Amino acid sequence: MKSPFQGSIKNNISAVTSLVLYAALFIAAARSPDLLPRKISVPVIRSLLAGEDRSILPVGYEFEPYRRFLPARGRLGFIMDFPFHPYGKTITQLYSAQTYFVPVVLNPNPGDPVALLYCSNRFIADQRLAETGYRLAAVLADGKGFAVKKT
Amino acid sequence: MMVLGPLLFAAGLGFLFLYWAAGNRSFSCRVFFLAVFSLPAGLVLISVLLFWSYVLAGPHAPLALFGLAYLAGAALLIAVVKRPLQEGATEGGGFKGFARLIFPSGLRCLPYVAGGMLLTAGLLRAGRFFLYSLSWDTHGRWDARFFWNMKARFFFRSPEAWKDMFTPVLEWAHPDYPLFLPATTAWGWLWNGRELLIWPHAVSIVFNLALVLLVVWFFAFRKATWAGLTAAGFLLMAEIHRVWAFTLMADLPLCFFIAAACAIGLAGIRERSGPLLFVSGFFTGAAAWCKNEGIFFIFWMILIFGGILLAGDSRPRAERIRAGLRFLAGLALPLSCVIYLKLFLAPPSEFATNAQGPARLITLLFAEPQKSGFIFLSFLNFMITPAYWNGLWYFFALALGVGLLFKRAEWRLHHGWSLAALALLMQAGYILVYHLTPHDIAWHIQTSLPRLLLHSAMPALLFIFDTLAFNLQTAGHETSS
Repeated sequence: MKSPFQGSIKNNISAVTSLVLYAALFIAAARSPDLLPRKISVPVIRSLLAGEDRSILPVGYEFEPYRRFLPARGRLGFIMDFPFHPYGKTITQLYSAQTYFVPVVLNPNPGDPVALLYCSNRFIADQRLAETGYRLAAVLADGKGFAVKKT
Repeated sequence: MMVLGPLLFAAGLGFLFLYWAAGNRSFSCRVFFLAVFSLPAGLVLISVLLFWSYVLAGPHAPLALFGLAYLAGAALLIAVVKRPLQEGATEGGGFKGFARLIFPSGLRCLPYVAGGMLLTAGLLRAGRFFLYSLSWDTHGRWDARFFWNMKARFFFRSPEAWKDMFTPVLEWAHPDYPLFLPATTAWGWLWNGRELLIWPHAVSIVFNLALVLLVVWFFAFRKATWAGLTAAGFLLMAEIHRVWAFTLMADLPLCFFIAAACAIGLAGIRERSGPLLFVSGFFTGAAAWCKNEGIFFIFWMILIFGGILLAGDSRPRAERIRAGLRFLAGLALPLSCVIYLKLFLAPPSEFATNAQGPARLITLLFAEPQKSGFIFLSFLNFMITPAYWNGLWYFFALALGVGLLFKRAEWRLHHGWSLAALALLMQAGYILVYHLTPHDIAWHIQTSLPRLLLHSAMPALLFIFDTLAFNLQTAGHETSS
């Protein structure tokens, strides 16, 4: 078995340099900080591994009360506290609702005959209905329900 | 069987595909190659079959998908059985040869033990973070939660109306994004008949493990497995990797495809193996099918490896052209999905819309030096953050310097420089994209830069160890497998 250090001086310098650099890479990796903040939830993991997903709320579950009124497919408007803006504060409401109601498509720029109304309270809902040209058709909760386009 | 069923099917299909493409040939660590790449290749194939099933069969797409998958498997099996093994293909490719690489005797085992310990520590840490993500990010991070899973639901819930995901009303959901991840997610859901929450996590684990094994394979191929163990451990211990590894977003699969394309492509160039270039082309196409950044990556791969084949290879011209065509042939299958999506389904990209015309393009690139300065500084600031990278980019700069000063002759022979070139070109491409973005630049950089740098870190990591690690082959320590 050949020693790695047999051979010319240049080869030996190269070998030593490579070993030093390899050791530096190794030490840099081994000293990596562990920034993990929280504990593991064993019940969640157990239910996921068992395929029992019902104990974990899906994204958009807050929109479940609307489901029985929706068609299997089609398009509805979506009215929330603020007009749609990609950097808007309430944008996750639209995203969650859309994810939950696929394949129904929710239009964030309401122009459809029927719209899903999801506002924080009835005062904001009234304001938004006036802005978008809709009238309240059904109430599910304070600021929430369905609206139809005014003719 | 919830998770194992779709995974085993994909692994079987991927194994047959890779064996048909390259498995009957003689090359180093052949069995290890098939073990590492079969499952990811199978998932790519399944996603391609799923996409075309939905395009061609519409409401009957799920049935068509399973029919096509079984047909493809049967066809590949027949082709594989009929194809003879190349002479020497079974020699040293088995587990004995692999074991000799992993467990050498005597003092030679020390770098293996050290690398193995680092890799084990990295795997344990990553495993703990995976369980933490499973507990608290069950639905994944932003893109996974709102875009990828939503598109997968269109595939799963409404085969008759799946194209509604491209409606202009859903412009905010990036309808021009490639569909590898939604298609792969839909595959597991269709197999089980329900939207299984654990399935996207299983896919995430597959690509994370495959990425680790890929790094080990690349250096085992180079007869320096100990460097592969340390490189894989280095990757797992980097905070940036852990942050993005289990988000269920498309970045980790893209990292795998990029690393696979680079590693297998370079191996194919060094071994003068056309079949390995075919597989490299396949994973290059998979990168484009995974994320839009992969489309840029295709250009860089063709530029670099095409350049090597044209100018840096001593084989006869006809042989080099054949090798290049094999790369393009492998690229074609996943790329066909990307082309169809971009031409017939998705609206134009927001970046293309923003940069219409040469005058507008020049304005965006050169008219705002402050914006350019901000972009360059952002790259620099993030790359030098020690807590995220374990100094990876410092080592990259060092490796570049060492290579330029001392290893140019070796580079001319073995083309290790191609990995550095790919990493730098990828970053150049991202800098270009930031100049063209229609979004607020600070917001765009804040939400995407870490992930983009992680993509280019894959060839950079391979380059660092390829250049700096002590090459035991010169001392004749490792025998060929």
